[in-house]
Amino acid sequence: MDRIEENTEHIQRFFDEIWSAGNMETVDELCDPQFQFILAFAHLDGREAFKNLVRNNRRIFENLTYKTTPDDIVTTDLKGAAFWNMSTTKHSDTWRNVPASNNPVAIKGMTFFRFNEDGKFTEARVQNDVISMMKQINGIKMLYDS
Amino acid sequence: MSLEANKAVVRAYVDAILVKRDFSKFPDYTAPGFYIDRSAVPEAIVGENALHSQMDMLYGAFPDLDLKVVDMVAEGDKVVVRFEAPGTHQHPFAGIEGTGRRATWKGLVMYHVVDGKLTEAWANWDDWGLINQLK
Repeated sequence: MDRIEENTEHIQRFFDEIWSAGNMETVDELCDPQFQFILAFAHLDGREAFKNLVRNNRRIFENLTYKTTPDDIVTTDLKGAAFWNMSTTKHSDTWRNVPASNNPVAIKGMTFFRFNEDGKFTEARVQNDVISMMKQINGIKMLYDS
Repeated sequence: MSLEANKAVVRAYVDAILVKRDFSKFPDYTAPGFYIDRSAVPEAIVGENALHSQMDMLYGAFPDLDLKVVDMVAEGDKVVVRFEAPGTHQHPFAGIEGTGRRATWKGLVMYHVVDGKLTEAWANWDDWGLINQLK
């Protein structure tokens, strides 16, 4: 397997094993200790901060699932990107100050990755459809009222 | 087409259409039926006129918008661009009157390039973050 195939596989595992299955050993295997996870509203510094986010989101969103396919993944030696679909069967606790709606949610998003020379993730920048998310959990009004 | 050629087409499209808004060049870079799947908008942006309207709305609200390609990755027939677009909010946007504030809109877009022309784009722009910066 060459580096590009390996990076594609690692991006697939990033979503399948970390986000959809909550496997923290995969975080240690695939991510550099100084891994940066950058969202529109947060910048998480380090692998442990990222693990806490995954644990927290998987607690708040039941059956949290991220789906991507090799067709949705673009990689080179040191960079990659993926288009994905996220779904949950129930928003069951407060997220971004929005109390549990108990609603199912489905949104799309993309992530832009950087790898180091050893093939570990050093950075992931996420753009997802937060407005659609907020609409689905009854949080959109807060944006304009806050 | 090589990866470098595909990236060059995307860069040329961004410069001519999204930055300079010279829509006379739209057919030079896009295939018939080109559409943008914009996750935040219920219906895809299809064709020249729809995109032109979107860009006029955006530059109307942020006249000095500086749309920049800050990173890019390509494989096969796909090119992904990471954009940053700082600008000054001078006129209404998303129901918010002009605030005079500087804000930066960020986005990731995956382009599908076939025979030197863009056929599809899947776009995720941080509308939520942009609106938050205006409040």
